[in-house]
Amino acid sequence: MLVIATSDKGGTGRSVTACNVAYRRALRGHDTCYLDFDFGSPTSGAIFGIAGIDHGVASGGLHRYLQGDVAEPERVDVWAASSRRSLRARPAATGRLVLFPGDLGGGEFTMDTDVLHRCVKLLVRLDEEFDHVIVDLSAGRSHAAEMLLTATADPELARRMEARWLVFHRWTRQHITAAAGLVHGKSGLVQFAAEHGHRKGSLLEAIRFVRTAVISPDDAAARGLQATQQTWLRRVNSDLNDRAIQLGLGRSFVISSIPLDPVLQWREQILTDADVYDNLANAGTVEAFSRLAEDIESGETWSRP
Amino acid sequence: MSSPTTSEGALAIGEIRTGFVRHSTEVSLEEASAVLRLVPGEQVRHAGRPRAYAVSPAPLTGVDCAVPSARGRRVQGVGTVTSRATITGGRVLQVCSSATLVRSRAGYRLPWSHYLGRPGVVECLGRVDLRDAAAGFAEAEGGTRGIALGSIAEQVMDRVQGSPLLDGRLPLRAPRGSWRWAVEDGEPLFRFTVLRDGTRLVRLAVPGHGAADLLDLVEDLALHDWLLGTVETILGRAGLGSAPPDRTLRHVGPLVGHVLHHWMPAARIRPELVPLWDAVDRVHGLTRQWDALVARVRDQLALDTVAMLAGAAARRDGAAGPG
Amino acid sequence: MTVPELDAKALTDRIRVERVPRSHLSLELGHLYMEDLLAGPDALRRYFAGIAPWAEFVRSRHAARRVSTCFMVDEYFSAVRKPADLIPELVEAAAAAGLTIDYLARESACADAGGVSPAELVLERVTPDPPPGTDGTRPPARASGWLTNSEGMARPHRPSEAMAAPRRWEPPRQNDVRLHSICLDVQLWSETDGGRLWSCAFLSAVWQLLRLGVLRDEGRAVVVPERWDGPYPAEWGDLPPVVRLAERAHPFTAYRTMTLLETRFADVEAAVRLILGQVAVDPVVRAQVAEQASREGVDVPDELVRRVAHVFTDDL
Repeated sequence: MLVIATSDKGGTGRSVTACNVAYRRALRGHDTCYLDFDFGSPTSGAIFGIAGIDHGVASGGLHRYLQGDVAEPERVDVWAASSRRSLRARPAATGRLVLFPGDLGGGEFTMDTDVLHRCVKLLVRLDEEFDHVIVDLSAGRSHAAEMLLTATADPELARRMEARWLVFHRWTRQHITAAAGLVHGKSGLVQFAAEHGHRKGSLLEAIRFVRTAVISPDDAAARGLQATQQTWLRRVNSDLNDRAIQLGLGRSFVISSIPLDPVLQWREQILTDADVYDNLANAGTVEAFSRLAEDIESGETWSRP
Repeated sequence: MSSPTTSEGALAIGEIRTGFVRHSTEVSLEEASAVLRLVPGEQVRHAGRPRAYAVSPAPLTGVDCAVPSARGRRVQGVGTVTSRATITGGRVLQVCSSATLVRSRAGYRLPWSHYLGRPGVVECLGRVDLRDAAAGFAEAEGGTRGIALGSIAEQVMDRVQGSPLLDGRLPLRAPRGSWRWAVEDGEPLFRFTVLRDGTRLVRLAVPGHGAADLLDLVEDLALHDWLLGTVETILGRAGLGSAPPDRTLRHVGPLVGHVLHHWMPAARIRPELVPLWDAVDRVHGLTRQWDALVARVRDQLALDTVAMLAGAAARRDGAAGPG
Repeated sequence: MTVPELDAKALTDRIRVERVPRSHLSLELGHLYMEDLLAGPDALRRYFAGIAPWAEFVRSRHAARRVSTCFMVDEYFSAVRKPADLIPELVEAAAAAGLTIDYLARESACADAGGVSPAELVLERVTPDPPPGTDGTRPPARASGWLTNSEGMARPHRPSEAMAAPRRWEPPRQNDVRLHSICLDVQLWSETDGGRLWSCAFLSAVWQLLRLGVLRDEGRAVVVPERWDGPYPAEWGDLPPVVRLAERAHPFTAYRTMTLLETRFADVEAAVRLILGQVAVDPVVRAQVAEQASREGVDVPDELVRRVAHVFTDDL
């Protein structure tokens, strides 16, 4: 299965969440790979804690591959290469976890038929050996998003790999509007898909939203907010919900809500269960990652129209 | 057939990739023949016994680059690489891309038509040390690898896997197995190395046998070695004995249905070479490990069945109990 | 105890490839465009009279050897003249010069020989000439529809990356250059509304391969000459790909070919030779030819393109 992560704007925690989802899938015994298509700023190396490739590899990464400079993009075995000891201690019965990094200093580039062909070829190739191929795109309307939309309409790919799209947005008024624009707006994903060979309506069935940095009013009490503040929060939250429904981002299209987690904001990394025991990570965040990792395959939101 | 043959002062090198055919079921010999039509107009050869086996015609790829060297020497080689794809048992796809290295009689590059007149041969334009080339290709991790036989094999494999006749719904997934081999002239030799990334290297020489015979042997070894590794990995995921039975079954089911019956060592190699297969097997214990794995799978399935029956019996007794 | 030796030949389906009879030489009595054929019987008579001494010279060089003659009508790009008119005119004009056309071929048969496209088969057999530095890492840049002997003219275009420096001009370079380059790019086909239109050069290369008898489709010979009884039809498509005009003639296919041409065809034939230099023959057929040749004591070069000779002259 192909899982494509994108977001309306930067700073949604998309990459760190997608990396954690990949990690959780692998823990469950599924062979998983992670493709860093965030061409503007490939940071997955840092999130997986792989020394020397914090911002991509020096050569032979996905940029170079897509531009035809190398036959196969470089791959990094996360279990073996991570500098974090807790990741290197790979538990029994886990699946493979392989990172395909971007290139150091590689920018965005225009897509042509050769690039597209290489993209399709790579995805088909990876489907032969991985249960899950997770692709992390740049934020907003990008060449990478266009490439994936066109690639997933390619008959060779489409008849073999099911693609699911996760659109990340923060739980604020501006972000809800922006995410709705990215999906439903002019030259948004749905329109682009319809113009590039996707069956009408099929992309919408394959898109689910991930709300990030969510502050639940129910938790507010625990955070020591005053009653008036709590009431105000509740009202804002309810307004946000109304707005989300109006814009087609209502509950039935939401696959996950990731709570606001200051630790994660400052230090983007893989959160292990050990981190929770050591109080380095919030149990709620890890649980959200874990549930999302479960739901991208079988979550009941996918069965809804 | 255009498989390379060693002649006086020649060295054959090649890379093999092994994987599952991207299809939900085993493909029939007819389907395999259609999938392997890599050169339209040329014929696919196939055999039904001892098991279904089909061999593609051999497309050529032109190269002009350094030839391998363990010592990092740079000698230019020009010629063609030949590739062949095979499907065994309707399920396992192997591609082997290879070339025979010979010394060129001219010291410079000739018109391309000269090289097309000698398919599967790469002529070395400088002073080449074939032992050094063999070591550089199939023994050392460093050195100059030169001709990208692995990439060529991958490309041919992608082409086969991309066939519209294959539905792409794989019952189980596995990374491709990768072997690099060199067949030399001279004293008997079998040197086997495993690299950190899992690539197998083998240098061999068997007096009286050319690369064409030995290719069948190496291909058969590569197939069984890969089957063994794949079954080990999948059983590892299944958490045999520790994971809940449904997870075990999810992993083990496809193994029983699609993989276990493909073990048939030395089915296709020349009888004189069977002792060599046996010797390799004795040292590396392929068959012993395989038997142990298969026994484990069967025992676990039996155990799960017993547990399931016992569970069902208990539920029935419970339902029929006092009430 | 002695164990009987077992036959390990597991491949029950052995490859079967049809053998074709061969002359020593296939001599092509020139080539004319359709517009040349409009010039009338006198022009044709003048043409054959001019070519006759050359043909005679070739025949005397191959005394006691099998030589067959052929002529190809270019009706792929335009078919103004009908077979019913043209063929008798050709035969008569040749005869007036003392020449016999043994075989007459239609150029469009190189594109479509009824159920099989020889051009498609040849295209699949093209193994492009690799520029230095080609190690197989990347598939050859298929500038689709082109073939080249050099690097630099049909240079693969790279996607431009933001902020990357502009590239400087570099001269093209012949792949097997010794001192100075001669670079050729040849177009094999163009895409038209009616489908793929093969280039004259590519069809001429296919024609050479048909005469050399090295094309097979799943083991079957692609073109087999046929006799035509009765009057010639009005449509070229009603004729077989190759018609045997002469009562008795040596085989159409031959170990080598020779083509007599006016110099204006030099460019096209240079392109033909470039294409032939990048066609790999089916290994089974290659072995068959070699075996057949050695049995007859004929010397046949391994290199396909060296089996093909051209004579250019305007002194007709």
